[in-house]
Amino acid sequence: VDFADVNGQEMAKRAVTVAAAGMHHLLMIGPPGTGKTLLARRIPTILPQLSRAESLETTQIWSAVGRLNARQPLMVLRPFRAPHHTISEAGLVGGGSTPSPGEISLAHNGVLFLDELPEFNRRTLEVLRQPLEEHCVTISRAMGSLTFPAKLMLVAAMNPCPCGYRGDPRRRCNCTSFQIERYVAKISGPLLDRIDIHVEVPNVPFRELKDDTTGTTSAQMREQVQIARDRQRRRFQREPSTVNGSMTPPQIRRYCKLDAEAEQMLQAAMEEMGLSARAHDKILRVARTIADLDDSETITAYHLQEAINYRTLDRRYWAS
Amino acid sequence: MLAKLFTFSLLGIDAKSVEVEVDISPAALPKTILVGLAEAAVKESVHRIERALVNSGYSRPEDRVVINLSPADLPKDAASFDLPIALGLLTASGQLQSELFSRYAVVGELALDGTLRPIKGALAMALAARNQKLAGLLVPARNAQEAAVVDGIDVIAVGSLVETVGFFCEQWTRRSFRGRRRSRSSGDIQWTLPT
Repeated sequence: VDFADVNGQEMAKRAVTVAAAGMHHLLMIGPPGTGKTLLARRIPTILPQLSRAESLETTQIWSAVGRLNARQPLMVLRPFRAPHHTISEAGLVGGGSTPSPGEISLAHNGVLFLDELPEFNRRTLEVLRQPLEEHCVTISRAMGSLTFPAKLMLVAAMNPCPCGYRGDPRRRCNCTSFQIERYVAKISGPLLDRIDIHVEVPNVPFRELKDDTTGTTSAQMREQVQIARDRQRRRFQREPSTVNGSMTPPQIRRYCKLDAEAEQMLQAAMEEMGLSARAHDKILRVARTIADLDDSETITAYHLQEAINYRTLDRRYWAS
Repeated sequence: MLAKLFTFSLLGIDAKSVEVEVDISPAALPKTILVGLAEAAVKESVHRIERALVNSGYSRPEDRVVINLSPADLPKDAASFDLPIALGLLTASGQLQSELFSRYAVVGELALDGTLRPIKGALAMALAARNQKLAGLLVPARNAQEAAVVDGIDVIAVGSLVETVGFFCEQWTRRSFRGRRRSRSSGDIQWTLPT
């Protein structure tokens, strides 16, 4: 698999690159058949390999559930987990009378892909909230409580409405506004707020599909990701977090300094869009990653603009 | 007679140290008692172990057998206790004698013919064994590679009950699994995918 297999969708590929470079959570919205799943399944090809410490952590979890490949004692590639939407709460975050790890822990240091996000049980999705923020999940049972690591990159995909064609210029959407409302309401505001990057994956024009010149390949994207990761490794040399996506608030204040123009832009965006304090931090984290991809130490208005853009979709689809 | 062995129980993703005690005392009727919060998988192990012993050429004890898994308040739900319990039975019934039990921990699920089946969490158990400063850990051959990832502990791959007994009698040339060596230079670590 290679990103070159996906024709067109260069905007989405850019968003995927940013997400992979900083381990940011990603939500893709678009009509059926535009390549959301194809894109998600190719994300592991652009992520850097596991470090030895990361590999030990992930391998230990896989070993504990007996899923390890006997011929590959130490995991080298980042895990990619794509559970079906019928998954239960216990299956997703872990559980049982003697708790065993769930999908989010199997995806530790890798990617958790939730395709058809609104089809998931609402309660199941809500249990994701705390692990996404804390990078671990604590399960308490009568026998005691256990903590499983769950540092992952969440990638989610969904249609804009039940029929899938809302906002598509070529096909008519025949969903009632009530249906649409109920559909998008399955993704709660707090969960949406925790996803750093929202991107639209529209239908590909025929011209781009026919185009024989291949688009951006995995190799090119991996190279960009590596540049950003190298900068992050130098930055966080003596600190617990290793990627921009998991920067703590003090780190954000230290490393995400804006120039005057950018500061003003952020303030305007916050006021206009009614963003939460968490969204503010998320935008700064993403802006930091975009600057890193540009191999730039300072975050300029240009970088910030792109980061804010990744937060505008929820206004469009969730405001009714 | 009393036998004592070390093994591990998986709790979540970590391994907890468990001591297996087997005591055999003369009795008019044979009876086996298993205590220590054993869940279904462990309770059933008694039947597996009996046949595995007989099919490996040992005799099964026909006295009163008490098996205790300590700590008593830790729930144990895995088949990995088969092998330590079997070795305990052999020792308590006088069929095996070894000085190594205090330094080597044992884990493994037994098949009825005495061969070993893979277990869950071998990596966590190897980590726990190292932290406990044990000399080594005996694991089923199919778990050996993942356990050998841990530095500083001797991981011994065994294929069957007979091989395990051979190791403890020091009459069997062991295959010690060494982890794949990785370059110790800092920065980028070079990995080789095992073929």
